[in-house]
Amino acid sequence: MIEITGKHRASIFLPAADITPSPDTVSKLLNLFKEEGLLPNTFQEIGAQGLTPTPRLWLNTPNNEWAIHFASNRIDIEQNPVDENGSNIGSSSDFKNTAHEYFTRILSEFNKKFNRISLVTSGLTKQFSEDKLNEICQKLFVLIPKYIDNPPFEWNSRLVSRQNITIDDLKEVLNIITNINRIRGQIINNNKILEFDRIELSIEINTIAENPELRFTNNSLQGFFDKAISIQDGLLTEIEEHIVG
Amino acid sequence: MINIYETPPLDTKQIYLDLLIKRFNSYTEPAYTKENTFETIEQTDSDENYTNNKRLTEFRNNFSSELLRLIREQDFEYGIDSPADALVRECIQKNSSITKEWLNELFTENYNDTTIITGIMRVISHFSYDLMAPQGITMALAALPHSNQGVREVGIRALENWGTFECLNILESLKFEEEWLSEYVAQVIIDLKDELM
Repeated sequence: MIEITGKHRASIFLPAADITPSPDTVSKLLNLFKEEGLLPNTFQEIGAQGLTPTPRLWLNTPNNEWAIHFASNRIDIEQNPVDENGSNIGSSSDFKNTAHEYFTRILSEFNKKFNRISLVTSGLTKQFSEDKLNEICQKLFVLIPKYIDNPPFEWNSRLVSRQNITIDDLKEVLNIITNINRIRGQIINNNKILEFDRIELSIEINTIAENPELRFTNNSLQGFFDKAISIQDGLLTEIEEHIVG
Repeated sequence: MINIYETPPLDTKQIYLDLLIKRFNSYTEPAYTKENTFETIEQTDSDENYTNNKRLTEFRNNFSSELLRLIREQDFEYGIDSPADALVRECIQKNSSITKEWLNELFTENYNDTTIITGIMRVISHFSYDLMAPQGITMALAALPHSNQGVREVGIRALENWGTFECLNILESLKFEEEWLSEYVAQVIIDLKDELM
């Protein structure tokens, strides 16, 4: 269903204010990820400590395919496209294997647990004709006469639901958020510009924010990822069947 | 009541496909803002973050090519201000935080280009440790394990120039295979200890 993957992102939520861009921490992390060639950088985090921007650490590969952001209360691992086709990005399972490995190293090094986890995958479908795009719109929306007469060329849909699962014998509740949008834009890579008008899909699956207990460990990651990817795959199949036919 | 379901992206310069996609907005507002933390695709941009991102983009667009050109063309001499130094000083006067982020970004993007990253390290080592922190030290740390000896040397020189206790601690933890580099580091450590203690 997704032809061009825009991003995979996995996040864990935990107290991480101590993972600062200090020489000691940077040295530890450089050592931890030396085989992968991840380089240290900083970004400004706004909001963690009031309005004053706080420099936080991130590691990334020189081509920015892989990035790890260490914010004050979360750690994100992302895989980004390096060309206009996202040809470097594999399946969610491929991403999950790497993200799991990276999180495990970090959690072990800094001896941490976390209270929330999320997995996000987003991307663009193949190019559909204008007629097909309008047909998809009518499958997702019950249009008022105005929009039947003047078909919309941009639209957004977002659905949020919940599902109960078990991770490490813990009963957990998942948020499942699906965005299906029609968007127009340009994919710009070096001097190549590709204009597009496509369906954008984004699926986020996360454990609910209401439980602040630091109950998840390395061992919890596999259980969550397996379940999340299974839900994601099921959703993509159903979405494809519904909108493409 | 605002419900929070999604885990929104961090307020960093990176947004969904930001490297590749420019989204056309049909709305009149210049920025797509959200009031809650539901959405993960769209960024929630504070005014300050928007300004920072805009300044970083300006630096990239206006100064990156020039700095890279200056680094490639000039002969660096230790102790002498170069045109590259002057350019970076000008940028620091405009916005020191963004300058450091911009330099770190250039450093990372050009990590495999030893001329460029050596040049960047030489420039930043001419500024004080405090002024360049924390990005200066992260770049120096990244230079130390580089496969190129020259890059490793210039990383050590930066630590030597900055000459702080943090730099001394890093130098004392280093091990190099090359005897000359190890001897150089040992001498730098002796000199720094004399200065600092």
